[in-house]
Amino acid sequence: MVDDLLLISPLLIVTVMGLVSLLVGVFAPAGSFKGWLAFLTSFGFLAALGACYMLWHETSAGAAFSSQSFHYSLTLDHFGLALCGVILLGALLATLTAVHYLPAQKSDHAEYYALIAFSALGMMIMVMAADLLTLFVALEVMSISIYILAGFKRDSSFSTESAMKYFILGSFASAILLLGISFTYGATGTISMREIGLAVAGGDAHSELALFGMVMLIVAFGFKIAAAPFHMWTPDVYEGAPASVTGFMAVGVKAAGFGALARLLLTCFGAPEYRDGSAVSWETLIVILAVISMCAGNLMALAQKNLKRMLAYSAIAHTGYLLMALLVVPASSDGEQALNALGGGLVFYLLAYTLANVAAFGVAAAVGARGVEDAGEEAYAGLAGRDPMLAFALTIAMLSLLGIPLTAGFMGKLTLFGELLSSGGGEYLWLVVVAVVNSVVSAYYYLRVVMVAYMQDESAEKPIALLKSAPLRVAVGVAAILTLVFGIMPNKAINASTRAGYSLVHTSNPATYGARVSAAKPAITSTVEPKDVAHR
Amino acid sequence: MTPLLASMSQTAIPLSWYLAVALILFAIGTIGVLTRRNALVVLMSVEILLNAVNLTFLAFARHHDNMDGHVVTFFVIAVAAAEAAVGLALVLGIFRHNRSVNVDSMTALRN
Repeated sequence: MVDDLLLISPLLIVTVMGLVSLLVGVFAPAGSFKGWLAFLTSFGFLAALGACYMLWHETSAGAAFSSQSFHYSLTLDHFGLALCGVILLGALLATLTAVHYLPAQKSDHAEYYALIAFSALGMMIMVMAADLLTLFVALEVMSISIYILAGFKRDSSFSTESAMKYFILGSFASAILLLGISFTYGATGTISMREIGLAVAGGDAHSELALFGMVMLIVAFGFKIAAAPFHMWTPDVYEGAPASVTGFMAVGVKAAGFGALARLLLTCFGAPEYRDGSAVSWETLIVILAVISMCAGNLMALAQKNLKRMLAYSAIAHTGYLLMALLVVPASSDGEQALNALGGGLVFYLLAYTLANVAAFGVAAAVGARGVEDAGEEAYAGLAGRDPMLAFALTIAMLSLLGIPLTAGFMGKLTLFGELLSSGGGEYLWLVVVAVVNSVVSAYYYLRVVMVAYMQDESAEKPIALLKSAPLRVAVGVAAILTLVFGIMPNKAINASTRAGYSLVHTSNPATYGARVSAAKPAITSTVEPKDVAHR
Repeated sequence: MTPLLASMSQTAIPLSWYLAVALILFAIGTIGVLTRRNALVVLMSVEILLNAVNLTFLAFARHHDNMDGHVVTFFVIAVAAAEAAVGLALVLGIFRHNRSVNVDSMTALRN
């Protein structure tokens, strides 16, 4: 029991930090500076990162909890831990950008840090969830916190409106997710992902119901990860929400959504007929979503004048690239090797994406903090002269998102595209070509930001004051430096994410995982009859 | 299972009827979310969606004769309450800015 609490220590640390921030908010005098709570929360995130690091070395691939403490609702594997690390890193850096940004926006409330912690908690549980109920509750913990955060600037109609739009579409997506869970449950009679996978693979599932459930689940996740054509909310929410929130939302929700989607699809619908067999395979759906997301995101980003809005469309395009990572698995005949590829592509790409976006939104927070809310391109004019360090960080972020060598984004794209090419025997060559062409197109809008920052002069009539904030500069600087470090020396990170993918082999493959666990503990074999469950 | 319950379950309404009702409810909720202009009515439509799903969960739970579906339903009810609380607060926030809860009046963010 105590061992199991140690195994979930990252979750516990983040929960406690959230509760502490909430309590402090009650007792701290109104109107006082709450920025110091950011350091407390950041310390919590750091501690949780440390706990993840410890657990990474403690667990062999796919450790199970030692007793029935959590009723098998969580999976602790390297895949989950790696994504927890990415989420915590994003949360840590995004929290630091908020310290002076929130007072400048006249919305310095202690609840901010509590909500960041709770949404990070939801994200972490999402990537560790082993049954569909846990997945749903975690997703709601994340989503509801993010709805509130998006509307955190209460006296701004932009912020409130973006929160309302996000809320309406988000709760609609939650309902669709529930419908998917419900029909998957109806098809198999269980909500445990592993047992669903066994039932589906063994042919015990009602195939039409399962197929309907699968499609609904993919649609719902499409909303959450901002895949076109379910992306309508993204530009408005990214633009309207406070920049520090957008930075967190862009990276955290995406990492959590992709982690949960990968685990869900591979565990529940890993059977060949749902991949490339007779039925409508999820592979087909993912290919369609990937192509539409890449093309639509890039084309619409071309016309954007507002950095936050442009990054929203860029997020849609990156969803397209990331979806390709899910295809690496089924395309290969050798399961274990293919899943290595998934880890290398997905986790490392998410890491690179997280760092670049944190840096970009950090700069957006510094530029947009005073007065101008929907700062257009002109706000960044002459940034290099006003603040060389921020301009340099923005440049690195843009180059990484674009995928220029020596940045993490380049290594991410290289790994991802290369693995997709080598694993499918050239089956997805056309998809890689589409992705590369899209990357080239994206150079236009990424480099334009850099050009504006370096080439144009500051507008003389209404100069925009930058936010002076040491924590923000630290966060942006760390993100930019890590982007370079992972771009120049990616080996360790790629090895780690490869290992993460490898652990997903065991935890997602119902045959190996079920067999391994049942050998040790007969109580949770997958052959539990529905009757037994009912009587327990 | 008592004899009375057993006899009831033999003459019970088949699963597909429950699913049909649930899907009709889900369609009504979807149409409400997509077409109604009043934010409060949209919130009500979301509740209809969630309750439609609850119905499918209960029908499936009964069909499979296990408790998972019942448990999920309880969680969905709790989550729906949390969502409604946040949703109503957001509607209030919108009303303070726009003096209206019409979703068409939310035009600050558009290009």
